[in-house]
Amino acid sequence: MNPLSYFLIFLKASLFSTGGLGNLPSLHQDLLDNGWASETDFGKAVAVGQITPGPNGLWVISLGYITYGWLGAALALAAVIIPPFIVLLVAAGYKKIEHIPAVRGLLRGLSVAVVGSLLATAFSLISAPGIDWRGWIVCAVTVVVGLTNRVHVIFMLIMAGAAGYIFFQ
Amino acid sequence: MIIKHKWLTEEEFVHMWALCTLAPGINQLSLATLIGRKLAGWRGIIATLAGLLVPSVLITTFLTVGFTLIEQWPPFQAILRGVIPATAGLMFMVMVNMGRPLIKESQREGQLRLILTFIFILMVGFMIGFLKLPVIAVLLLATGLGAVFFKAPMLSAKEVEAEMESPEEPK
Repeated sequence: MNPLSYFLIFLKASLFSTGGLGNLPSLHQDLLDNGWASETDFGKAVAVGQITPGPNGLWVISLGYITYGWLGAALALAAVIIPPFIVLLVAAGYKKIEHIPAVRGLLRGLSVAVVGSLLATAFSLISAPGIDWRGWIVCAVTVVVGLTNRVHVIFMLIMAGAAGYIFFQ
Repeated sequence: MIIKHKWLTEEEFVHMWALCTLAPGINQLSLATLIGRKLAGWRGIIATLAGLLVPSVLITTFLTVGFTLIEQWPPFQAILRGVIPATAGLMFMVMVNMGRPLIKESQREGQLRLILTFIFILMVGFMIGFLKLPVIAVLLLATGLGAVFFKAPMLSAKEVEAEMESPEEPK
């Protein structure tokens, strides 16, 4: 593994992301292509990110540790701290761009595309080898229960873990 | 919380959040950056970012370390085989929650915009999932096309506020 290209993969993903999981599809593609992470590494990192307090986007630190140890965690942290500073430039230039309709269009195009890219990534994760019909059931139940917004994410993951224990032990 | 301490007015806060949604990366970090600068310049930025990051980064890291230590333990392997598909479910869920306001907005603008939104989502999914095109290139393409197809005035402060009340992602 080359630390510099590893860092640049994380930085690039964060620079072109919106929201906490927006950087997932790009990281997923680049790290898998390089053979630096497996499908399940992403599942593990997202799970840890969801159960820890604070911004959801910090799941990448977990991904960094899982794939590249302490150095990976440090590089991932640096890669998520840098892009938010761009808000200072946005704040400076906002008066000039706020009345241009195309700017809003650009942002909407990006947001809609992030949704599409997450679709591809989630699909890839669920069709990974080692996930059979029992996994699909767990996934489907998670989506249905999650969208009701009544059950906390941590509780859903605990239930999924319990289901795994019962199914596969 | 910040408003309670009279560090910012409600209006300033909403304006700042609107700016953060325009910046890349984790929005909470952008917001902390803006609030820190407003309160105490560069030192403020360091203080707010550290306050937000230090506890959660430490917890995330130690949880991951603990996780990797027990990973090989067979019962935990079985548990993981349940948790991994659930995280895929969470991704689908995040996707729906992110997509919902975009679809609602396009619905208000008429059928054409609504259809366009679905075409965008499916095209991007297809290009990345099946054609294996580079994610960033596809996102940039969609962003460029968005400037042509999704022209609209910027959100007013009121709409931004309404968006904030329905958080995009599960916590």
